[in-house]
This record gives sequence, structure tokens and C-alpha cells, in this order.
Amino acid sequence: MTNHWLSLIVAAPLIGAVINWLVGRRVRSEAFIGFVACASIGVSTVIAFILAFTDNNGAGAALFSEPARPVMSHLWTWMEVGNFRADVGFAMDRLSGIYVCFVTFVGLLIHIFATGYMHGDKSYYRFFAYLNLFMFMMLTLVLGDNLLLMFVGWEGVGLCSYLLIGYYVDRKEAGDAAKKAFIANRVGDWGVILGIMFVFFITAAAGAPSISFFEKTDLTNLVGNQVPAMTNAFATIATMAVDPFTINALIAGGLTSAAILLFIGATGKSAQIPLFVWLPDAMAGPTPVSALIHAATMVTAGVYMIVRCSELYVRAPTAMAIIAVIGAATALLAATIGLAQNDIKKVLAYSTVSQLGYMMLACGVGAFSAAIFHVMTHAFFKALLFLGSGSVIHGMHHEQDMRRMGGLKKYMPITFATMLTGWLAISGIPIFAGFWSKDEILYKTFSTQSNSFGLILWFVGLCTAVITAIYMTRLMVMTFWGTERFAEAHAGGQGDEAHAQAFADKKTTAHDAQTATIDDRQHHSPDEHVGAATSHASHQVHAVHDEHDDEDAHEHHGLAHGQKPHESPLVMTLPLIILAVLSVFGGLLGAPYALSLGAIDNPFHHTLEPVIAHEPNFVGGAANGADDAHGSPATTETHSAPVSANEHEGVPHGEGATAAHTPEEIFTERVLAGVSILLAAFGIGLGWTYFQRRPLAQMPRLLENKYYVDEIYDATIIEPIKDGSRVGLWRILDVGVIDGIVNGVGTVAREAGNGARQLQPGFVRSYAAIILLGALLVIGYFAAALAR
Amino acid sequence: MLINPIFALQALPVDVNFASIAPELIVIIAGVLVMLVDAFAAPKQRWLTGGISLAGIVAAGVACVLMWNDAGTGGVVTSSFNGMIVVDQMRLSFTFVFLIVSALTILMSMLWVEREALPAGEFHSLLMFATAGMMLMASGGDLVIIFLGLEVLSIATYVMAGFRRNDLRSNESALKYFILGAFSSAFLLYGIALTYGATSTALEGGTTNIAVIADRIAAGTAIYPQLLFAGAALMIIGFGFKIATAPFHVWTPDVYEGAPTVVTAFMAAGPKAAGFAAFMRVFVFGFPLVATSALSIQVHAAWINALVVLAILTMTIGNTAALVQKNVKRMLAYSSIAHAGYALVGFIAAGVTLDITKQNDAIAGVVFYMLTYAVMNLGAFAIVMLIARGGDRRTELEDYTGIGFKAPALAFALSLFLLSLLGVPLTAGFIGKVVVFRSALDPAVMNDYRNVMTLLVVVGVINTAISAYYYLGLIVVMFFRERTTEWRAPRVPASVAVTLILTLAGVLYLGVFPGKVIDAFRRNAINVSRLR
Repeated sequence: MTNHWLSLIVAAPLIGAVINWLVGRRVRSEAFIGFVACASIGVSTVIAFILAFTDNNGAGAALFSEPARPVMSHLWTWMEVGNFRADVGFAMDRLSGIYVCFVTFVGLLIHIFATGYMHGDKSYYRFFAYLNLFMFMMLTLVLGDNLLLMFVGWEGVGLCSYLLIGYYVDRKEAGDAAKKAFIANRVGDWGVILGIMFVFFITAAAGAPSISFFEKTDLTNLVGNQVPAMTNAFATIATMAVDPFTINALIAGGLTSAAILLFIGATGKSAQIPLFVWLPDAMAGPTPVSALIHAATMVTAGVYMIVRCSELYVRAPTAMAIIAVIGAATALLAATIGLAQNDIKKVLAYSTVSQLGYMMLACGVGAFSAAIFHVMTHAFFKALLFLGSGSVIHGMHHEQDMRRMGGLKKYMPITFATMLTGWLAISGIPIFAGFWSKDEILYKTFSTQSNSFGLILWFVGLCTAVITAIYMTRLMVMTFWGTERFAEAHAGGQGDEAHAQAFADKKTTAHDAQTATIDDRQHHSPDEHVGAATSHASHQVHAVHDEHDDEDAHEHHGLAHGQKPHESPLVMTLPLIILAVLSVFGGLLGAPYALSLGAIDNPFHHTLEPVIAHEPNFVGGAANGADDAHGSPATTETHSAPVSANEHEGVPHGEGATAAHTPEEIFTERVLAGVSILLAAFGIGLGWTYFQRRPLAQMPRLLENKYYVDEIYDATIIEPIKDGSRVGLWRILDVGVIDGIVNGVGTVAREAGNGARQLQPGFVRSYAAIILLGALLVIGYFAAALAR
Repeated sequence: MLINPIFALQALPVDVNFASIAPELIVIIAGVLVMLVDAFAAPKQRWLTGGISLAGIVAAGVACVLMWNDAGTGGVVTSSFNGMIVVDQMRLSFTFVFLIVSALTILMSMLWVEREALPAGEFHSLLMFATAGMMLMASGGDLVIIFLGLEVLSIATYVMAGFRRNDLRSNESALKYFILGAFSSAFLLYGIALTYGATSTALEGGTTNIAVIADRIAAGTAIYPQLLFAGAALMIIGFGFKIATAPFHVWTPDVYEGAPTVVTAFMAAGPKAAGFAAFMRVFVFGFPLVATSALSIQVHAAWINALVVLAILTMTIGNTAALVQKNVKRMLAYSSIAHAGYALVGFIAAGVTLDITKQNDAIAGVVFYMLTYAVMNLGAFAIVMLIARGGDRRTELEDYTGIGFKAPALAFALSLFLLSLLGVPLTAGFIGKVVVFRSALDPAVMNDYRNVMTLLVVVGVINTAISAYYYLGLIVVMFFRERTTEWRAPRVPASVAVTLILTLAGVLYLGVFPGKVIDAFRRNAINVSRLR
């Protein structure tokens, strides 16, 4: 059904960006800029919720219409070449509806937070113009009704991410981090664009060329004209056979190839192995950016794309297996690294990578709705944690090393209380949002039938859950409990030694030295607090910052002597409170039947169900009820099974649905949940007892240095490319060949010019001769053609 | 009674239809008017000539649009003056392109009125005549009209190239152009003569009417078929010179570099498109493939293969030579050669596509390509002209060093034009290339030529990649090199600003919403383009 209000969701942030860029830069009033930025997102949020939840045009809300029908807005046909067509049109179905709701809402909160956080920044307007532009691109990504428009958003958020990571333009680390993010994403984008091409070829071969996510019939454009019909590419794919589960399928050019190419893009955008290295560095951007782009929204785009293309993935078992393995490996790897980081944002960054790994794992085992559920709860609690850390950093005057915090709960009670909920949520304590989603993923992994090593994956996921609880506890303990180390740092003593030690370490590892100084603002040098005792150890770092310090001696970062941390203003704590509430209760939307004792039957899952695919080989499973505890069997038209047909017709809580929850299933799920609750409690307990005693404990060097992944990439990929460019492209090709030709031509021309002074190198007679020669060749060819 | 031969001629149906040449007439009348006004106008009123020219072009455009709409109803003549003039979509689309080129050229030339003591009035009248010549080349259904149009165009252009009478480079450029142009015109005329001879039948004399040529080849009634090969070969050379295909391109860099920048812009966009119009008309419609005629198959294969080789040479030589240029005008000259090569791909596709609808799509693709090229090229040259200052002195690559942040608007606009020339998505150049290459890869292409067309597209794409080096190179020079000498941004007069706005809008519009224009170019695909 057509509803052009949908386009306004996308357009509003763009308008906000334009106003801030054109008007805001002249007005230079923080109130005006902040108002424009928040209001534009507010408009999007309101429209998004209205379209998603209320019955518009009598056709049902986007999230609840039965049968599931998207709200669509076709603007114009972007390009039409032969049988290839890409539209500029938006569509909100159940998947994008959920996405848009939390993206706009969390985005709005983060915008509000940022008006306080960025207070006093000299290019306030630029920040909010970028941030609004990002929202525009993100909404294009999510609402775009075909792969190519999604890719426009995909590239757009990448661009905005680049701009915002490098927001502090006068800091080299920020610029480097921005470039790293951009380049890592380029590697992935190569996969996406090829994947789109494959989807088009595959559907074209099946006789219905399309890259559209939706079937377009009976739509009108803005001026009321009928829109030409368009088939749904993934409905076409849904009629195809499942690819064989072999390695060869990867390069066979079929569904599996398309799936894996798209996944390569997802590894870039969603920071999976091997392309995850950019995300931790991306913390060089302002903290609201980290919260919005690098935790809540953009980085989940890869998950969104995979779920959106789920019809493709369920037919590519090889790709699914690879996704599951990479997801699990990323989750574990990042969690262990997170254990050893000292920068509060770095911990959260690795935590994000780890949680994204969970989502990928869920996709890989076919639990698409669980993945999206985790995306949503993660958006709540990770945005909360990032904003909380932002609040801490703000209160600490741009200090982000946890070794110089401690005991903050006294000074920042609201931040502390809200972060507490985030901590419990991510650790997997029941009732809190993270528990439900993480547990669902673990359960689905355990009971997966899409590969035979579900048990191993489940075990990895479980280990990750324990480690997650440990590192988050470490973060909380180091920040909010214990002694007030920010004071000690100035007074000298134990803190100084620790720092001296720490920075001496950093000298030995180039990468850490770079990234360690990435704090939220310019002009912060670590040894500022440490005094002369350590300056010899960190003189390199110091040298970089000296001039800034001289210029801006009055602008002090970190706490001055005797100064106390302070709680943040209301504009910053209010979003925290709202997000905290969501982190506590948001997960109940997806509480499963078994764990809620039958009170709630996973409404989130049932909402999403009609728009995602189910593995064709699950149809058989549905008959014996193997995977039916969550009512997950096939409900697409082509694969509907008798049991699930009931649910599909809108009686999810009726007898038919309840009957699907067999006692064994419920039992298994409860046992698994019990195990993960115990392990979460164990992790928290371990972290609590250990880090309460030794908050500054030296963590394993290997973890602190992130398994040397950056160094390995440098040595194996980056340096060879640099050398190749320097020697091959520059010295040999550019200097040797191109300049050689140029200089050679120049020499010849000069020589020729010595005899007769001339203005241009050519002689008419030689030109005429060349033309004549060409003419003779053409005529000769025709004569030969005649003779044949 | 003795019958005077003249009366005998009058006995033929006269078939005069002035409506069918209304745009040409309007432009010619405007040209004459400009001459008169220029003779009597006071020096302060020199801008008048430009205004009159523009008015003439707008009027011709209106006439063109009216004919366009009539063509849709089917109630309009498809030829007049006994087949000398044709009215079809291809002619009207090309006419449209020429008018845009001329209008933008006039706007650019208004700079002379402000900045230099050049006789703009003369220039405008010459430009109008050149435009009329181009339009005749597109509307001619007869080799004679095409040749006349070509000469009207060429003679006006020779003069325009030498328009800076006190500048040796301009003089040299004009003279070179004239000598080589006359040389190539001779080829063309000889080719026409041979074709005329080749098509005579036992009962009638030869013909220069393109439709009749095709008929006689198909019917096999020509009595000297061998001459046809020589005729076709010579005409390829003549037209090849006009559109600057390698190896007949050698005049281009020198002439483009020496001519006043406005004229260079015009020559690269207008006459080249006119050359394509006539070239396609003669070969696609005059020498089509008719399966029942052995002669037709032979001739068709010969000219297609010859053009394939020329296209590959043109793309490759144009791009590789552009790599090493240190003068921006020269670089753009080689770039224009390369672009002729890309357009040739679409031309060949039209030649090897038998399905009439698809063939029209291919032709429309070439016209669209010419339109996109004209828009981005004129935009680029307008900025080159501004930066070159009076007398077109500063056109070396080093004159562009580091101007990016000193004249950001100009530099960004030029960057956009260069990106479009390169063919970056969301710009006109990209869609132009897509459209042309697409028709080359269309399933409607004859089986025998599938591989050849694929090869052409591959060469085209590789060449596009090569061309990135010099297009982006200029952007790099503008933005990432430090300038050591003093440089101030040139003032942008209103007329040039209008040109830039129009071309920028055109590049983006054609790049983002190409559908409408392409559809207009290929509308009524069935009832047009066939002369019969």
C-alpha cells in the first residue's frame, strides 16, 4: 500500500542536515543547531512509530497487518537499463519497521545526549549536520526497497562514519582511524556490489530479473501515476533449490556465491573477522558517534542485510556455516581482547564486536529473528553503556583511561545507576533485555539443524557469555567502585607507578601507543597527570602534544588537582534513564514461551516471522515438532507446514500454537537458560571478587595487544601493498614509464623545435601522410573484402 | 512541341515542404540577421548579436519540439523535397543536441564581449551558419545534402578556429584544420561520387538518395557493385576525419589546442555529433544488412569490421595519448577522441542489430551519448576558458596547480565534469556509457557479432579505467598540489555562470534521471528512422 509519509522519515534528517550545514554554520547558536537536529529526528521518529503501530489507510499497521503487507512509497525509477531496474522507493515491512523504530528512537536519544556532550565544541553545526546526514543514510539503508538503494545507504553510512570518526580534524589519530574504517569497509563493499550483481543474474536466469526486496503492484508514485510492477527478487529465489553443502558451491556462481559475497560486505560493516580491526580504532570519534554509529545502528547493517536476504541464505548452507563459525569466533576473540583493555571506550568497542559476533552466529544457524532481537536489545544497552561512558568521560573532563577512575558512583549517581542496568543486561541477568536475546541465540545455536557442529558453537557462545560478564564487571568495578584513583594520580604514589609501567609498555608496542592517546578531545596527554616521573617513558607521546598544550594551556583535560568528577546535565542523563528503562524491560518483547512460564510467547518473533525465511529442510522437522517450540517453522507460502499454518493465520497464542511447545522443548530451553544464568552469575562473581581486590591487575600481554592482529595485517598486507605501490606503481610505472614517455615526447618535440621555431609539435604534411596511410589501409581492407 | 528540359523537371511532383526544414530556416535567418545587426549596431550593443542568436536557437528549438510532437501522431511527412530531407526521431534528437551545443557556446562566447576585443557579432553569425550546417547533416536523406551541410559547417568552423587573428596559435590551428579538412572532404566527395556510379542500374542513372541506395543494393540491380566498396571506404575516411577516429584524428590535438577555447568546446561537441548523425544515417540506413542479398552481406560485413578496428584504435589511442599530455586543452582533445571511440561502439551496435526497435534504441543511445558528452565537455571547457584568462594563455597543467581551494566553486565544478567524462555513477557520463555499452551487449545483436561486440565493450571498459588516470590526475593537481606562485580566482561573468549552472544541472540531471530524455530520443521507435 502506498503511503508517502514514509519518505518523510528519510527526508527529515536530510533536511535537518542541510539546514544545519547552510544556516547553522552562520547562526552559530547551539540551541538552534541542536533543536534542528533533534527536531528532524523527532519528526522521523513520530512518523515511524505512527506507521509502524497504527492502522493507517485502513490497511493495518506496518508491523501488524495481516497478511503482512509493507507500507511503500515509490518516488521515482532511478535507472532502467534493459531488464534491470532500480527504483528510489522506500518500504516499511515488519523487519524494516522494527529497525526504523529503534534506529529513530535510539537516534533521537543520542542526538539529545549529544547536544549536551558536544557543548562548547567549535564546529557544533558540522557535528550535527554529519549526524543528521548519517541518520538519512541509515534510514535509506533500512527503508530502501531494493538492494541497490540499500547499497546507496550502505555507502552513505560508511561515508558519514568516516566523517565522524575523523571529526576532530586536527588530530592525526582520528584521521588515521577514519581512513582505516573507510578502507576496511571498501574491502567489504566490493563483496556487496558483486553480490547484488549475482542476485540480479540469478533472478534474471530464473526469468524474473529483479533486485527488489518487495513485490510492487498497485502502487502510485508521488504525482499519483501507477508504478510499473516489479517482482520480488527473493520470492524468485525462494522457489529455487537449496545449494549443496560443499566448498565448491562458494565459487560455483550460484546462490552460495551470492550469499558469501554479501557476507563479505557484512564482515566489513559489522566488524567481523577478518575486517573487525577498524571498529576499535573508530572510537577516536566523539562518544555519541560511537554510541549511534559504532554500536547501535550502522554496525548492525550487515545483520540487517543478511536477514533481509534470508531467503538467499537458507538456500546456501555453506555460507550459513561460514557465517556461524565466523560469528562465534569473532564473539570469542573480541571478548577476550575486551578483557584486557584499559580505555573505557575500547572495552565497549570490543564488546560491540563480540556482540555483533553473536548476531552473526544467530544468522548462521538460521535464527534470524533472534539476531534481529539481539540487534534491538543490543542497541538499547550498548547505546546506554556508550552514553554512560560518555557521561563518565564528560564528568572526568575527557579522561577515558579506567585506571584513573574508580569510586565514581558517589559523584555520578544517575550515570552509575543507569550503567548498572546496562551492565546487568549485557551480562545476561534475567529480566534485563540482553538476557532474553542472548539466551535465545544460544538456545537456537544449541538446537540448530542447519549444521552439525551446533554444540561446539553453543559452547563457544557460552564461554563468550562468561567472558562478557567478566570484562563488563571489570569495567564497572574499575570505573565506579574502589579507590578514587583520579585523585591519586595527582598526588603521586601507586597510580603513578602504574602509569609509568603502562606507558613504558606502550612504548614497546607501536599500535597501542597510537591508540592509547585517542581520547575524546584534543590536547589530552596522558602524562599530564603523571608528572615528571613518567615523562621520560612517554616522551614520544608528549612531543606530539606539547605544542597544543602550550597553545591551550587554559583548556585542561582530565581532572585538575583537587577537582572532583561531576554528574552530567539533564540532557545527558535523561537519555540514559530512558535507555536504562528499555534495557530493563525492552527484552520482554521477545521473552519466549518456555522461560516466561507461558505468560509471553515471544511476540517479537511472531511479528517478524512472516518476512523472514526458514530453512527449506526444516519443513520436515516441523512435522516432528523438532524446532517448533518457538513456532519457527516455515510460514512462507511456498513452505508452509500444517502446524505453523495456524500461527500464520493470526492465532499465535491459541491452542495450536501452545500445543507446539512440547514439554521436552520447554525443558531443554529452561535447562539451557539455567546454565547461562549460572555462568553469568559466575562471571560477575569472578570479576567482582578479583577486580575489587586488584583493579589495576596486569592483564595478559597477548590480549592487551589484541593478539597482534594489527601488526600481522601491517606485516602481511599493508606493508606489501605500500611497497608494491612505492616501487611498482610509483618508481617503475609512474616515474619510469609515464614520466619517461612524457619526457621522451618533450625531448623529441624540443629537438624538432630547434630547427624551425614552431608553436605546436605537429607538421601538417605528416598529419596528411598519416591520414593517407589510414585511408590506404581502409581502402585496402575494402578491396580485400570485395575480393573475398 | 519542343519540351524544354526544365519543364520536364517541373513535371515531377515538387514536394516542397518548408515546415520540414523550419528549424534550419530559422537558424539561417537568425544568422543573416546577426550579420545585419552587427554591421549597424553601436559598439556598446554588441551583446545584441548574442541575444538574437539565442532567440533564433530557442525558436528553432520550439519548431523542433513541435515537429517532435507531430512525429508522434504519425500524421506528418517522413521525407520531403523528394527525399532530400527526412523527418524522423534521429534527426530531431540530433537537432536538439546541436541547438543545445550552440546555445551554450553562445553563452560562453559572451565572455569575449566583456573581456576581449574580439568581434563577437561575426562569431555569432558564423556559429549560426555552422549550426545550420550541422542540422542539415542530420536532416539530409541524400548524400548531397549531407555533403552540403558538412561543407557549410566546415567552412564556418575553419574561420572560427582562426578567430584570434592576432594569435599565431589560432592561425596555425585554422590553417591546419582547413588543409586537412579539405583533404578529407575530397575523400568524402569522391566516395559519394563512386557510390553514385555504383548504384546505377540498367534502366536508371545512379542515385545519392540513401534509401534508394539501400534498395538497389538489396535488389541487386546495381551494375557496378565493385565500386560500392571503394565508395563506402572513402566515405568512412571522410566521416572518420570529421568525428576524429584514429588514425584520422591527427588534426584534432593541434587544432583544439590552438583554437579559441570556446571554439574548441564547440568543435568537440557539435561537429562531432553532426558527423555521427550523418555517418550513422549513411551507413546504418544506406548500407544495411539484407539477408537475401549477397552484395549487401559483403558490404555490411566490410564496413562493420572496419569500424570495429577503428573504434578499438580510437579508444586506445585517444586514452593513452591523453595520459601524457601536459596541456589541458590537448588532454581534453585526446579525451574527445576517446569519447568518439565509445560512441562508435553504439554506432556499430546499431549496425549489427536487425530488430528495428532495438536498432532505434542503439541510435538513441548514441544520440544520448552525444548529448551527455556535449554537456560535460562544454562545462569543462567553460572552466578551462575562465582559468586560461584573456588570450587563452594559461592552459598548461601547471596552471591548475593548487587552485582547488583558491577557487573552490570552479575547481569542484571542473572536478564534477571530469568525473562525468570518466564515467562515474550519478553523472551523465556514466549513463551515456551504460546506454551505449548496453546496446552493444543486447541480445538482439546478430549472433555473428556477439563476440566482437563483447570485445568492444571490454576494450571500452579497460579504456575507461585508463582514462581515470588523467581525469583524476587533473583533480589531484588542483586539490593536492601546493602552488608556489600567486594566483587569483578569475571573475565569473554572468553568461558563463549561466553556462556552468546549466551544464552542471545537465550533468546531474542526465546522470540521475536519464529516463525521460532517453525515452524521448527513442520514442515511436517503429515509425521512424526508416526512410521508406
